[in-house]
Amino acid sequence: MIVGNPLYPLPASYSSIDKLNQQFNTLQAQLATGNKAQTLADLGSVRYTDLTVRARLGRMTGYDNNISTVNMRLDMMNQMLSSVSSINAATRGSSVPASYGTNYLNFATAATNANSQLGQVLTTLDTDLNGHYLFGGSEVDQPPVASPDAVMNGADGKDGFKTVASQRLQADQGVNSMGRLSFVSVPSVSNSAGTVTLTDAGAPGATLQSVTASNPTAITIAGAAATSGPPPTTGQFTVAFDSANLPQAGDTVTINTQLPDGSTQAVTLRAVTATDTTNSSGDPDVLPGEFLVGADATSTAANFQTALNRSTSASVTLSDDTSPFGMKLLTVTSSNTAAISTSGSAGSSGPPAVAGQFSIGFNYDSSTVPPTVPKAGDTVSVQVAMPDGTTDTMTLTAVAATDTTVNGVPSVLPGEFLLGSDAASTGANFKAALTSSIQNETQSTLTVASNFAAANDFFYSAGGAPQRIDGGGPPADYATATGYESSTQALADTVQWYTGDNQSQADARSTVTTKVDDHTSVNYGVQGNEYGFTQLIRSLAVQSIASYSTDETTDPSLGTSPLDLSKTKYDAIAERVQTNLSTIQDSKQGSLAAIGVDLGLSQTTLQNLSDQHTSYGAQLQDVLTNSESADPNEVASALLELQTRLSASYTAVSMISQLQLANYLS
Amino acid sequence: MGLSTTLSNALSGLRVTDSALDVVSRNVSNSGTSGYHKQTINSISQLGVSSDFARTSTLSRAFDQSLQNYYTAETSDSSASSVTISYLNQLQTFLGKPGDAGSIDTLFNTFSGDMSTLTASPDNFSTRATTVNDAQQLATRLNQLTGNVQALRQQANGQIQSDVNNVNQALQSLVKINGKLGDMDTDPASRSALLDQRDRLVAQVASAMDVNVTYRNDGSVALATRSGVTLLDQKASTINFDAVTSITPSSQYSTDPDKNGVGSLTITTPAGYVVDVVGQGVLQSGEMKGLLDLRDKTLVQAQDQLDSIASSLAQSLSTNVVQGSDDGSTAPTQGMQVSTAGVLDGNDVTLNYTSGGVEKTIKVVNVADTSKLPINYVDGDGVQVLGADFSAATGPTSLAMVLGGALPSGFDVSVSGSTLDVKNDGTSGTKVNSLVANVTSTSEQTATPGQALGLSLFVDGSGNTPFTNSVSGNGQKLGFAGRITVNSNVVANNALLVQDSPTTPIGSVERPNYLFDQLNDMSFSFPSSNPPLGALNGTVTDIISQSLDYQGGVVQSAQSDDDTHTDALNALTTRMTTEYGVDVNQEMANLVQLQAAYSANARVVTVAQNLVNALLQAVNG
Repeated sequence: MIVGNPLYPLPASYSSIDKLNQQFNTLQAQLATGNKAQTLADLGSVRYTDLTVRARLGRMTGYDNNISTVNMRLDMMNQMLSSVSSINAATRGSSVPASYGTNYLNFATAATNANSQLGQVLTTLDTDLNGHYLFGGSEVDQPPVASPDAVMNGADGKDGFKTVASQRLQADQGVNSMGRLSFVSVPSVSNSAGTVTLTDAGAPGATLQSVTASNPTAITIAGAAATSGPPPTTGQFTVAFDSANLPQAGDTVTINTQLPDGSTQAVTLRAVTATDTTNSSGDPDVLPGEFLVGADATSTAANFQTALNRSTSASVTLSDDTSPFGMKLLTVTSSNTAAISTSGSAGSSGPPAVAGQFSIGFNYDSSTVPPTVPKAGDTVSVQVAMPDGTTDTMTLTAVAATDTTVNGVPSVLPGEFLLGSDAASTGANFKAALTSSIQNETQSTLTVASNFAAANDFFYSAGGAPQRIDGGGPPADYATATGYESSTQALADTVQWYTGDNQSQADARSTVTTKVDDHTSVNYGVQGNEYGFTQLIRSLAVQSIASYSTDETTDPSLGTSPLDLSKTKYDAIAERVQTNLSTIQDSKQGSLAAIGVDLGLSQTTLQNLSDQHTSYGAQLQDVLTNSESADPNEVASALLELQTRLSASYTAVSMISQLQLANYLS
Repeated sequence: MGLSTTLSNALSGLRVTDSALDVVSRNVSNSGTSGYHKQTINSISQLGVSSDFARTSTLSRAFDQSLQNYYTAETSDSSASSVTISYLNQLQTFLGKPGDAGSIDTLFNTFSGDMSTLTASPDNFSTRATTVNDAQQLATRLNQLTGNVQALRQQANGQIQSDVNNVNQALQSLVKINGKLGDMDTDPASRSALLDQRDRLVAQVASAMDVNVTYRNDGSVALATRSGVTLLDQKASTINFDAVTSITPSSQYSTDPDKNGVGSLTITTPAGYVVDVVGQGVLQSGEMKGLLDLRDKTLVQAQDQLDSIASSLAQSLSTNVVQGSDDGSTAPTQGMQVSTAGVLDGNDVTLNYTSGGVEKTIKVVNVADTSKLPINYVDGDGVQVLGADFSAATGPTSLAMVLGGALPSGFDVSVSGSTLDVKNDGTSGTKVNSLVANVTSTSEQTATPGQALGLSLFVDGSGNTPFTNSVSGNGQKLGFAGRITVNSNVVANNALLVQDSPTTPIGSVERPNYLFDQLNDMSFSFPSSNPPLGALNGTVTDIISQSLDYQGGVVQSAQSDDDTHTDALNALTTRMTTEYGVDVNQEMANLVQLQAAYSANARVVTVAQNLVNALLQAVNG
C-alpha cells in the first residue's frame, strides 16, 4: 500500500509489520556481519568502552610490532656477538708465548691469520638488518666501521693503521733507538796551559750553574752560566791555576750543575798533595773527589781534569723526556746499594711534564773492611713504563773480567756489564751495557708496546677520538716528536675506523632505546667501539702488522740476533693479547660478555612484555567481542522467532483484508 | 391522508435515500483517499401541510477538534524528530563505526601505531613514509568529515528554503479556502471537500513549523506559531529566507545581520511586522526547527568536536614543553622562572603552585587580540584559565598583572624582558611547584640537537602555518578540521620526523619518543560549544573517543526521540482512522439498509400507483 502523503501514514497494522521487517533486516545484517551494531548509535552503552578498548588494542599492536622488530635485531646482534666472541676465544687460545711452531712456522702465519680475523670482525660490525646497522649506536643508517683495507692501509688520502703505527714506532723508539731515554751528558772538559775549561755539553745534559773555589787567590774562576737567550749562549767556566801560587791541600773547587729535570748537583774536588796521599806501597793514592796538586800549574790542571772526569764518569745518569712517547723511567734499583748507589725519581706527565731521572753511582772504597766495591753478580734493575702502559725491567748483572774470558777476550753477554778496576771504568762499561740493553728493548718489547699504543691511538674506544703523533716539520720528524696533533687535524688526516655513535662506555646501551610499553623502554644500542670489540681489534691489528725474522746472525753492537728479538716480540705480543682478551676482562663494562648479558636482559624484558601483551590483548579482545559481536545462535533464534511473528502477522492481515462485507453481498 | 401524500412521502424517502447513497458511494470511493474525512447524512421527518415527509438535513463530516489539535502538534514534533534523525543518520554514516576502515579512531590508532614503530625504526625510510602517509590520511579524513558536516548544513539550509516555499504556498491556499468557506451557500459536499483540503494544508504547515490552529465557526482557520506569531489571519504572513549559497564552518548564525553567515529567516506578518525567526526563537517544533537546530547547533557542535580532534592532534605534536628552572632565590623564598620568548598567540604558560597546602594550577594563554580579554574560566581539568597579552609589558592585560592578580597573597610575579619569574614569600604552605611554557614549534629543525623536539607535523592550511589555537578573530580552532594538513616540508623530507637538527643521527629516537609520548600523554580541555553537553577532556585518544561517543549518543537519542514521536503519531493516526476513516463494511451495511429503504419506498410508490390505477379504472368503469 503506497500512500503519497506522509501525514496519513500506513495503518498501524501495516506499520508494525514494517517494523518487524526492519528488525528482520537488522538481524540478517547482524548474522551476516557478526556485529551487533551496524552504526555508531546502535552501539549504545558499549560505545565508549569499545572506543577505549580499540585505542588500547591499537597501541598495544604498535608496541607488539616494536617488540618483534627489536627481538629480531637482538637475535641478529646475539648471533654476531657470538661470532665475534668465538674469534676472540680463538685469538686468545692461539696466543701462547714461546709457541713459535716448528721451524718458526707461526712467525710466518701469525700476521696473515690475524689479518683475516680482523677483516671478519670489522665486517661483522658492519652487519645491518633491513638497512638498520646494528653496531653503530644511534647511527643506524650507515656502516659504522670502515672497510678492513681502509682501516689498515688508509683511504682517500687519509692514513691507516699501518702508517699511524709506524709513525708511533718512530716516536717511541726515538733517536738512536734509545726509546726516548738518554744519558745525561756532563760538561766537556779541556785543559790547556794551566787552565781547565768546562763547557756545557748541550741538551739533554747538565748545565753549568756556577763554579766556586775555596781559595780564590790560588784558583781563579771565570765564566758565566748559559742564558736561555735569544740568542742563547753556552755556559762556560775556566778554572786557572797559578804556578807561583799552587793550591794548598784541602782547597776545594765546587762545580754546580743543573740537571735537565731541574735538580742541581754539586761536584766538589778537593786538592791533595803528593805527601798526603801516598799509600802503603808509596804510590800517590788519589781518591775519587780529590785532585793532586802537581809541580806547576800545567800538571795541576791536568790532574784536575783527570779527577773531574773520574768524578763524573763514576756515575751514570739516565733520563727520559717529557714527551708522551717512548719508555718512561719508573725505578732503578741496585742489589748492592753500598757499592752501586741509585738515586732519582720518576717523571710525571704534568703539566708541566717533568722528566724522570735516575743516577747510578759506582763506589770503590777500599778504606772499609771489607772494601766497598761492586762484585760479580751484583745487579742493577731499570724498570720502565712502556707506551702501552705495561712495565718492563732491564736488569744488568755485573761480571768480573775473569769470569767471562773467552779465548782471553772478555765476552760480555747481553744484560751483563764488566766490572772495571775503578768506578770510572765500571761506570763506562755499565753505560755501554745499558745502552745496548735499551737498544735491544726498543727493537723488541718497546716495538710491540708501541704498536699496542698506536692501536689505542687509532682504534679509539667508546667516547674517544683518534690520536696522531705530531711530527712537526715538514719534513716531519717523528723521532723527536713531543706531542699529538689537534683532534681536528687528526680527524683530517687519519682514517676513522669507527664512524658510528660515539658515546661513552657507560652510555653505549642507551644510544638505541625503543618504547615497548607505555612505561617501559628497552636499551639495546651497541657501539662497535665498545671495550670488548676494541680490545679484540687492537690485538688483531697489532698481530697483523708484526713482522718476524728468523735470521740468527748476531749483531755485534747489540749482542743479539734478529731471531732473538723476534722471539721476544712474539712473546710480548702473546702476553699482551692474552691479557687483553682474557676472561678477566669479562667483568668490565662493555666487554663482549657484558654486552651479551645486557642484550639478554633486554630480550627477557621483551619476552615478559610480549607475554603480558598477549594475555592482556586477549582479554581486551574478549571485551570487544562481548560488546560488539552478535552471537550467531542468539541471532538465529531471534530470527526464527521473528519469522514466526512476521508470518503470523502476514496471515492475519491477509485474512482480515479478505473479511470485506462486499465479498459476501450478491 | 391521501394517495398524493403517500406518494410524496415515498418520493421524499427516495430522495433522502438517493442523497444517502450519494454519500455512501463517495465514502466508499474515497475510502483510500488520504485526508478524506468520512461523511454522514442525517434524515429528519418534517411535518408538511398534509404530510410528514423525510428530508435530508446536514451533511456532516467526521471531525474532532481536540484530536485534530493533538494531531497538528504531533505532526510538528514528529517531523522535527524525523528530519533530525535522517540527517544524523547521514552523519553517523560519515563518521563510521569504531574500528571501521575510515573511522577517525581507526585512522588515529593506525597513526599512533606508526609513531610507535617510528620509535623502533626511525632510520627506516618506509616506516617514516608510512607515518607521513597515515598522517595525511588522518588529515584528509578530518577534511572530508568537515566537508560532510558542512554539506549537511548546506543541505539543511536548502531544505529550509523548500519548506519556506511550501509553507508560503500553503498559507496562500488557506487564505483562498478560508474565503470560500466564508461563503455559507456552498454545496455541503464541496464544502466537505474544502474542509478536507483545509486540514491537509494545515497539516502541511504543521509539518514544517509548529502552529496553533483556531477553527472559526464558518470552518475557516487562523494560524499562529505556538510562540504567538501570526501566520494566517485574514491575510497570510510571508516567510522570507535568503539562503546563502555556500556554508563553511565559519558561517554561523548571528543576531547581528553583518555577522550572520547562514542567511536570515524572517516572518513578515500581514501588519508588516518583521520577526527574526532564529534570533527570537520563534519556532519550537516542526521540520524547520529541526533543520535550524541541525544547522546551528548539532552540526556546529559536531564540527567543533572535529576541530577539537584536529587541534589536539596538531598541538600534541607541535608543542615544545619548556620547563622552568629554579630562579636561585634564597630560602625561605623560593621561585621558578621560565622564558616566554617564542610563546606565540594562543600558547600558554602554566603555573602549578601550592597555597595553604592546596595545589592549584593556573594557565595563562597569550592573547594578542585584546578585544577577547578578559578571559577567566575553569576548564574541565579544574585548571583556571586566564588570558593575557604577553606583548604588553605593563597594564591590566599584561602577563604580570593578570597572573599576579589571580594568585593569592604570598606570591610575587615579575616579568623582566621575556623571563617570567614567580616567587613565594616563604610563608609556610606556599610553594611554586612548576612553571612551564608550552610553545608551538615554528621550524622543523634547530641548529643544535635536543633544543626543540616538538614538530608541527599537522599545520593550518597549505602555508605550513603552525596551529597555536589562538583565539584572535574567529579563533584559529574554528574549522581547523577542514584546513588541517600535513606539513609539506615533512612530506618532502620525512627524515624531519627524526632529525630535530641537521646533525641529529637518523637513528636517534629522541624526537620520535618525544612525539609519541606527547601524542599519548598531552592533555587537552575543550569547552563545549553547546554547554553543558559535549565538553572534551583528556589526551588525543580521549578526545577522539569522547567525540565519537558523544556524536553516537546524539544520534542514539535522536533515534529514540523519533521512535517516540513516530509511535505517538501512529497512535493518533489509528484514532483518526477510527474517527474519520471510511469503514467499508459499515458503508456496505448502510448500502444494504439504503437498498432496502429504497425498494420499500419504491414499493410504496408502486403500491400507490396501483391504487391510483385501480381508482382510475374504477372511475372509467
